[in-house]
Amino acid sequence: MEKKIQNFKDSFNKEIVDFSSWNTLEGIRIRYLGRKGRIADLFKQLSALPPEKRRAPGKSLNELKDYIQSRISQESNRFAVKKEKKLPLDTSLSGIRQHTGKIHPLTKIEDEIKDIFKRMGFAVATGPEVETEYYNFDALNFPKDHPARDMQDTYYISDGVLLRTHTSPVQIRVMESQSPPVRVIIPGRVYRNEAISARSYCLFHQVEGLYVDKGVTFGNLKGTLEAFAQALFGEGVRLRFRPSYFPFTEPSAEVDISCILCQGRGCRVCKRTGWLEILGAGMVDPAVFLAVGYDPEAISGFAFGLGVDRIAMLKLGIDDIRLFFGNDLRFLEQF
Amino acid sequence: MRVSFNWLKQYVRFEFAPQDLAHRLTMLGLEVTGVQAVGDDFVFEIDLTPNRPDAMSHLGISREIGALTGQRVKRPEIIPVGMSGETAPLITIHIEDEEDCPRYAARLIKGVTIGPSPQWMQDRLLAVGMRPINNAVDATNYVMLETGQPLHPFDYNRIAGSKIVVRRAHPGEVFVTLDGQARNLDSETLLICDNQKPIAIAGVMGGLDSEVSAETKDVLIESAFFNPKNIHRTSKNLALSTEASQRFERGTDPNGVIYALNRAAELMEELAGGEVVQGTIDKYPKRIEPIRVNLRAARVNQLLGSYLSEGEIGEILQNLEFKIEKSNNLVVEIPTFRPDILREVDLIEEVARIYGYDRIESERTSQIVLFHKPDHRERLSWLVREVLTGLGLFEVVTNSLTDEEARGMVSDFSPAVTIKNPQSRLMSHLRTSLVPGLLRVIARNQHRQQEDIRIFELGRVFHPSENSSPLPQEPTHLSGALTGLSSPRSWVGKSGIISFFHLKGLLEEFFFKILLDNYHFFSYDISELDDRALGIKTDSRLLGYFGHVQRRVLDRFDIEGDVLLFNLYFDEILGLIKWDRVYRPVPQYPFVPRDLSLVVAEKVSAEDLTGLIKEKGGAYLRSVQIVDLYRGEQIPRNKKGLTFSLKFQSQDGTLDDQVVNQIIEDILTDCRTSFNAQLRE
Ligand SMILES: [Zn+2]
Repeated sequence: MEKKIQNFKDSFNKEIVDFSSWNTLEGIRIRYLGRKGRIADLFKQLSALPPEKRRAPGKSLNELKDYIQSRISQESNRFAVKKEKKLPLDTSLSGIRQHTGKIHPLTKIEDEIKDIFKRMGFAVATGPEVETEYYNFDALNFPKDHPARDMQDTYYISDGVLLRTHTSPVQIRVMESQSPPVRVIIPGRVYRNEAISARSYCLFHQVEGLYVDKGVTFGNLKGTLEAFAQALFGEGVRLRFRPSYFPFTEPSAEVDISCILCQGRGCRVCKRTGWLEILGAGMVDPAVFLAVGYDPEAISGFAFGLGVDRIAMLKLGIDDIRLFFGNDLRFLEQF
Repeated sequence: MRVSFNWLKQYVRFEFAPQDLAHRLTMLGLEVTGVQAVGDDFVFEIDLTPNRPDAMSHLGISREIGALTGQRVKRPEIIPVGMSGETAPLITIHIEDEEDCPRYAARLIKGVTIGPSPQWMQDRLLAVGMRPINNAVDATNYVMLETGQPLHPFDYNRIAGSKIVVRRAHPGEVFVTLDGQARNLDSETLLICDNQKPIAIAGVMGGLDSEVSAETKDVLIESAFFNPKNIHRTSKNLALSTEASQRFERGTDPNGVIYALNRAAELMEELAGGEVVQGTIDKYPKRIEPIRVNLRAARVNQLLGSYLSEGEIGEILQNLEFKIEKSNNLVVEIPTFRPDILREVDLIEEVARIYGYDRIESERTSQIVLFHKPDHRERLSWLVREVLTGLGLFEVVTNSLTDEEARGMVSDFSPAVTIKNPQSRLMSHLRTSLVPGLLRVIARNQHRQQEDIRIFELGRVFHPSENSSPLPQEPTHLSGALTGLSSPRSWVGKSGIISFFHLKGLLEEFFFKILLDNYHFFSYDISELDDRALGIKTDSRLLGYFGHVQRRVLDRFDIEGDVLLFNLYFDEILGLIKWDRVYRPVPQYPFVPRDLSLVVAEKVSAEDLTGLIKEKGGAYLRSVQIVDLYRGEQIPRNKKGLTFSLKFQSQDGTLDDQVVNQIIEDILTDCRTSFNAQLRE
């Protein structure tokens, strides 16, 4: 009897090691523990023995039954874990996402522009959007009662107080507060009293630059703006400086870049000229230096200004400036 | 301004094709914005800068071409006219206001026959956009387009008393201009009058009464120089801009008056017959002399970064009809047709312009500035945008001009700064808050089928000055608004509508990311939010507020569903951030966790309980987190169950259970006494 019990245990141990599926494990269970299984069979044989001879093998048999039960449940647990892992995973289901936002395209382009100038050693300066006529016009050498003041349609708050038409007043404020050398860029909102259309809005974003030091030349201005334009629009871009007029610079220039859409061959955007006007610039007028107490014989400087909105429109291929201020999410999510 | 290609060829020789000439003029600063073929001619549209009155004529443009090609323009020779009679007894001129009218000249032509101009004249005028009127008027317009000097023909026989008086208008004086409009004049308006009445607004427009008509027999031609400022002022006040006023307000040539007058007299005689009466009346009490300006070649090169010799500089200027009086250390006489040239730097620009901006070499190196103060405002602006977009908000940019109603709806702040001359009522006030702009963006997007809208703006608002400064205060605000689901819809499971606590958590994350701590929330009452609102402050400063927008406000903006809003004061936050952090040792020993479930009355705030736990937890308490809120059958009504998860830790060693148990006991005792809290089993 004891021998039979030991044999069953050995064969069970062999079978339980290399079962391959749920079915075989279930098969083992039925074979050993089932109502007509081997253990039941042995119990039947045991009951046939005289009572005094049942004790020792009875104990062994019970131990075997417990052993087999625990091993099978152990294996079936292990197997169940394996089975769960093998549940098919449809990896083509979409990923679980969070809400994500984006920075406004105007801010992005402004950051790009600021970064280029920061790498050249320009600091950032800011000033008020509501300005006095003195800072917006007088100190910048805009003659009184002259058509130059009409170049910019101005919103007035009260007598002598207005919404700045450019960030140039900050040039004056910066120079008033420090002595040369000065190297700053001035980003900010400016306002023009014009009817709103696809081409113009009542406000736009400007970045101006000012560099004042000993021996600054028009050649420096050209080099700086060329380096800037190539950094922003690509190495291949060419620049064209043509004479113009701004009261606060002399000589003054309009700066065109070769059209980035047609590479200068002529298209609708550049009005078939191959050139796009993107900047105004010039050497700081001595009258401006005198207004801030600098000696125009001792130093010289250049200033320039560009419209962020216009550059953003060119770079992003946008033909209606109002899109920037409409903030349609389907527009904002593209950048 | 329009210029005829063929017409220019009358005064200067050049071989440029029209497109080529257009390019060259543009590079001279006379920007050609269009070239149009008209018959066998080409018409250029030139966008002139306001500093160049000298270029507002065909002779002026020709002079520029001459400078470019190294030649002088040929002015038409004037065949002597006016051999008969004597003008002086036939007209008298009296200038009352010599400051605004430094020169007034006139000639008389008797016995003209008014009729249409010959075809060639009509074609020329039409090509450059001027309507032919009759031979007398056309002759004066032609000469204006040729020389830049505006002229005015009067019907001589309608000048009462044969007398011209140049004077300021009387206050309240009314005058009917050529276009039939009655104009109300102020006392600074300069008038041309006869013995009895005004006959023209000087430099701007003539009157209906003295106009040359089919019946006119004798014509008096006016050629004058007026103070540009006065003409500009009048033109602007009357909102009346004419070919004449555009030239006078920029500054005509006081010494070109007689040439143009004689040229017009000659032309009129040719076109309309009659005879020019001998002699010119020329009132010019104080001759305007050309000024002299010193020009250093070294300074030219210093400013431009060029390498020009004195000789080259002198030649450029001479081709522009400047006179070189001294060729060693140049002294330059500036012709009076160039009122824009007053200083050395103005001459330097002329040299650069003609020499060519494109020929000045680019210099790509410069001295470096070695020190800039750290710019925390820039840094925080950037950080704020990065963090908020990372937390799922889109940046928006909205108009700073708004209307009073939108403003009033959300803000109980100070009055707004208003605009004196707005385009419309909708853009008549400067914003005092970013909130109306954000709510508009939400409404607009909702109308375009967007549901989850999460936006912020970083921008300035405007509050009238509280002190004597003429300028308002311009604080920067950081505001946001959110509506829709707390997380995007997906197949995983349902996501709820964004709640107060989502926003509160978002702001906590935000402060965590920008290194701001030591703030706390407190109950806050503001008109745009309902009672689910909190303020945020430090010990001394209000940093902002957030919560649910009032339903009535949302209705006014036509917004559906709940909107959560925050409004933060950027400048206050900027002042509080400690950019420099000092390292705190990372714990070496394991923490001991304990959960504490308390039942308290509804009115006990979680924040107060947490505060007490922190206080009693002492130095070993590393963190407290609320991990469960329970209301229901297992606890009495009007009570709530809160489960706190506490972590205890020491820097010096593993904590003993007994120590932690004792701390928990202490916390419990205090929670019982202070808040009547029960331990939940
Ligand atoms: Zn193009």
